[in-house]
Amino acid sequence: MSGLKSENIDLAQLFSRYSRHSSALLGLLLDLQDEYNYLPKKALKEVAAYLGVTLSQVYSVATFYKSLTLKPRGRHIIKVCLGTACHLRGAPQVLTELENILGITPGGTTEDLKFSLETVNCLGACALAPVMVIDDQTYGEVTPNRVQEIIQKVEP
Amino acid sequence: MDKPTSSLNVDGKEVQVLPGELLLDVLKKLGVDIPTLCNHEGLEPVGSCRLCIVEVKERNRNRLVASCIYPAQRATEVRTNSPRVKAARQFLFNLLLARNGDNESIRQLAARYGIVRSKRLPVRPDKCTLCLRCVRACATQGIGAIGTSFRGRQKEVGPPFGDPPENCIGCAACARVCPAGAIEVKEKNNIREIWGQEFVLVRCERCGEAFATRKQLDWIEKELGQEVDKKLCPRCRQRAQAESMTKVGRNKREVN
Repeated sequence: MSGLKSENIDLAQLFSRYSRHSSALLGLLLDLQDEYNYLPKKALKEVAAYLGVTLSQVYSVATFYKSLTLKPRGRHIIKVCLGTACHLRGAPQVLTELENILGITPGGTTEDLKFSLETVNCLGACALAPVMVIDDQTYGEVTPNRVQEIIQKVEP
Repeated sequence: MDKPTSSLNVDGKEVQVLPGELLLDVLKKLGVDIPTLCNHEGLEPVGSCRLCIVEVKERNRNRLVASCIYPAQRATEVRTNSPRVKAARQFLFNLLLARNGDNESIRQLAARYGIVRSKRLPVRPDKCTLCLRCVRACATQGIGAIGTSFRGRQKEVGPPFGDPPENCIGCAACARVCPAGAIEVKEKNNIREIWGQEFVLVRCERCGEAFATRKQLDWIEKELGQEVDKKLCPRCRQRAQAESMTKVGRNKREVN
């Protein structure tokens, strides 16, 4: 596991929870992403070596699922709902305001790695529309002029 | 002991099929003309292109199946050119032409079945049809340097991260099995370039043909655990053997 120690993540320990079989691939990738917040190239190579599968197989799975990402994401994930109810109640304006403040578009991450911006199609909280979620915290009835305040309150 | 064969009606003709036999192989033996793209005699069939669809009757129900992965014994009747087959085939060709309409080999294959590209369809300039012959050819040899990445419209074939793959041996089997000429291989002097990497070619000492890459021969040697002839191409090796045997034969005749 050389080269990864500097990042203080014990890959050997993480791997040891899984049998060395290709069927463990997806579970391992999800755990890995929980640790790193994304899937670093180096770690994917270690995964391939541990499971005895080719790097191309690992890459194939890692790029297939939308919940896995190969790019570093921010410490906080902002999800803006663009479902029908939220859309009607002004979610596009909320999104535009977020884009302006953060200087990124959906799928992007701020340079300081603080925020990643994503859009979702429904959060199941239509009564609170428009809704946005930062990490596990839900914000309802968001208006463009409340956005700045909400963002500022998020810890670094 | 004879294996239990079962009877199958192919377009009105009765044939006997063996257990485990794949329908496409049965149809090919009968000389039925079926379009294929992803199928290759040296590779495991996967049924990814679906061009080889036929209509089968199994348990009194009619279905369309990809004949390359369908066990022939499961059906009692097969129709290879029914209206349903023709319609589905046309649809598949149209999808292929939408993605690969610029590709001459795909256009020719479609034209053989009387299908030309509909002008209403937008054309993507892709050469690759995602038949996965290359991926299977690489994996079959135990290398697995290339695979698919992403999904849906973004799906593509290539090495992980788009980087030159470390484990590639430069054998170019991927390019050779590609039905669409989508994998670029350049050969100049003694260098082969593929997947963004250069490989040293080994030439036959007799005929001068470049028959392998150095990395490929080293890899075969390592994997098989035995020495390989790095001087002669397979054809010249055979010829050299025949020549020395002729000599042995002549000596024997002279002794007698």
